[in-house]
Amino acid sequence: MQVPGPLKSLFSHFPLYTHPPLDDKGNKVLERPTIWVHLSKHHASADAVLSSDVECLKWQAYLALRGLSNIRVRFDVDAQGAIDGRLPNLHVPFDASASYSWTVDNKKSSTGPIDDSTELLSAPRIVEWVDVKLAHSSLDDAWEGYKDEAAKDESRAWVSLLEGNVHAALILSQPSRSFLESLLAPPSPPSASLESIIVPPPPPSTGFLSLLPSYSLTLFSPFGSTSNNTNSVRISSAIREAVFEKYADAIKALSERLGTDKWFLGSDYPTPLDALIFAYLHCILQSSETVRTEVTRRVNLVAWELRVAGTVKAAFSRV
Amino acid sequence: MIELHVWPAQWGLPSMDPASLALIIYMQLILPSKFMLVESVNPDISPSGQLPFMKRGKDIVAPASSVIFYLLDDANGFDTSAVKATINPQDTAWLAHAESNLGDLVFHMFYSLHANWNGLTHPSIVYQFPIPQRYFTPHRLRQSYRSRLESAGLWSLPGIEQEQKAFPKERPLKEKLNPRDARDRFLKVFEREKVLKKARTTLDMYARLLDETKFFNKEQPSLLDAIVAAHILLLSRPPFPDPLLQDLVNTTYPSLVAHADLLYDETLSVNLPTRKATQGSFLGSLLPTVDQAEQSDVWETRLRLAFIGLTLGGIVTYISAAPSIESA
Repeated sequence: MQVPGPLKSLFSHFPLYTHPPLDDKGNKVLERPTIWVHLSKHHASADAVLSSDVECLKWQAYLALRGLSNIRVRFDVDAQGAIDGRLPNLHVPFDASASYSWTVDNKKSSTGPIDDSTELLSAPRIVEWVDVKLAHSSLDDAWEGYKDEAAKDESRAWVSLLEGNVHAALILSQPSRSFLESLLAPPSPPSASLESIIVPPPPPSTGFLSLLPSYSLTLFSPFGSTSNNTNSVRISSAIREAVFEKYADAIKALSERLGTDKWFLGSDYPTPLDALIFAYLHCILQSSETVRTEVTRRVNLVAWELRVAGTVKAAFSRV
Repeated sequence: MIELHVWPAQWGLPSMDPASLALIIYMQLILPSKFMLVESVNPDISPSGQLPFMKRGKDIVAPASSVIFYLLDDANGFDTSAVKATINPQDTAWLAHAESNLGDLVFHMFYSLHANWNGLTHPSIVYQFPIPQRYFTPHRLRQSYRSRLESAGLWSLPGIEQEQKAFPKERPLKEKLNPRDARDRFLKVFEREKVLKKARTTLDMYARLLDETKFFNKEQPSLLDAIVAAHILLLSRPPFPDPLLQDLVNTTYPSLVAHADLLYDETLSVNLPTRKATQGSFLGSLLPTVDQAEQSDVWETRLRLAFIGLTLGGIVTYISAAPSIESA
C-alpha cells in the first residue's frame, strides 16, 4: 500500500539523512599519564594546573614530589564519571609487564570491543602505580622516608591534625550555599562532612532532647546527598569559634615545627606528609580571609608553600 | 565557683564520656579540688549543644577545647605557668590524633558493638532521662556517633552475643537450617580482626611515645597525658559484655594501663564535690532550643513573627466573615 499523497507531501518536509558509522579509533591515543581532577579556581588562565580541591591536590603533589613529570591534567571530567564517584583518577597507558595487586585477580581475556590499552586507577592505587613505575617502593626506605620511627609516628599525628582541625576550618570557611542553589546544583563530591570530623560529634539540629526529629535535606533532594551545609547537625557559634581557635593553634604548631627545615620533620626528601601539608596550605591561601590570615602571618609557611608549588606545577601541563 | 557540667559517673569513674573525663583530669591537675562537678544528661542547655561545658560566674564556655583555651588564657586569672612550660608544638598534633583515633576506639566499644550498647551503655544512661526522652534520646545519642565511626570503618560490627535468641528452645531447629551461618561467622571474626588491627596500630604508637617514661613529657603530666589516660581508663575499666578492645588493652599494653592508673591515683582518687543537675521543666526541653547568641537572625525572627501574625489575622478574619457566607 502506498503512502497517501497529502501525507507524502507532508513527510517531504522532513527528509531522512543517513550518516556513515563513526570511526572507533577517533579518540586520541593516550601518550602520557593523565590525571582527572576537580576544577582549579583559576581555570580560565592557561597555566592553571593545580586543582582547588584538597584531595585532588594532595595526589597531584604526591606525584610531583615523588619525582614524576610530564603528566597531563584534565579538568573536564565530572566527579560522577570517576571510579566510586570520587576524583582524582589517573588514566595510564596499560603496562602488561607490571603486576599490580589488583591484576592478580582478574586474568580474564579481553572481551573484544573493550579498549584495554589504557587503565583508569582510583586514588588509592596511584601509590602502587608510582612504586612500580619508579621501581622503588616507599616501604623499602627505612621508616618510609622519615628520619626515624618517632618521626614516622609523629607524621601520623600531623596527618590527623590536618585532616581534623584544619579541614573542619576549611569547610566552615566556605560560603554557605542558599537553599535554592543547593537544590539545583549537582551533587557535590562525598568529601568528609563536618559531623564526622568534629569530636565529640555535633548535636542534631533540633537537639538531643526535643521531641521533633531532625531531618536532613537528603530526603528532599532528587539527586542524593547535597552539600554539607544542609545536613542535619547544628553547628552553633560556640562550635564554630572552637573550630577556628583549634585551627589557629594548629597553624601555629605547624609553623613552629617547620622552622627553617627544607622538608617537614627534618626529612631529607619529600614525604607524603609534605604533599598533604602543601595541599592544605595551597587551598587555605586561596580561600576566604578568616582562614587565610592565619597562614599569611607565618612567613616560613608561605615561603615553603611557594617553593613547593613551583616544583609541583612543573610536573603537570594542561595540553 | 567553677562548675563543670559533665556526663554522669559510672563504673568508679567520674564521667562516662572521654571528653568529660579528660577535662576533669586536666582541671584536677591545674586547679585541684577547686571546682564542682554537675552531672547532667541535658546537652541542649550548653551553648555548643554538647557536654562537657564549664560555668564560672557569668561565663559559660563550651566545648571542651574552648574550656582548655580559657583556662590557659592569662586574662582569666589562673596560674598556669607550670603547665604552659610543658607544651611543645608536637603536642598539638598528638592531641588531635589522640582525640580522633583513641576517641574512635572508645566510641566503637560503647556505641557500635551491639552487646555493649544493649548490656552496658544503654542501661547505665537510660534511667537518668525523664519519661518522654527516655524512649528516644539514647538512640539519638548513638546515631550522632554513626557518621564518625562509619568514615573510620568502625561502625556496625556484629558482636559476640548478637545471636542470643529470646527463647532458647528454638535454637536446635534453627541450627540445622543454615549452612551460611558458618561463613557469616567467619566474616564476623574477620571484621573483628580488622578492628583489632586498627587498634593495635594506634595503641602501638602511644606505647612507643610513652617509652618507659612516667609521663609523655618527661616529669610533668600534661594535657596529652590527661586525654590518653581518660581514653585508656574508659577502655579498660568498665565491665563490657563484649570485651574486644578491653582485653587487647589490658593484655598487650600494660605500660599504657599503668600510666592511666597513675594519673587516676593522682587526680581522681580524691572525692570530687558533685551534684546532680537541676531538672528543668521537661516540657520545655521537648521543644528545639533557640540559640540565644544568634544576633544575625534578628530579621529572621521579625519575619517569622510577622508571618505568624498574618496567619492568625487571616484566620480570625475568615472565621468572622464565614457565617455571613454560609447563611447566604
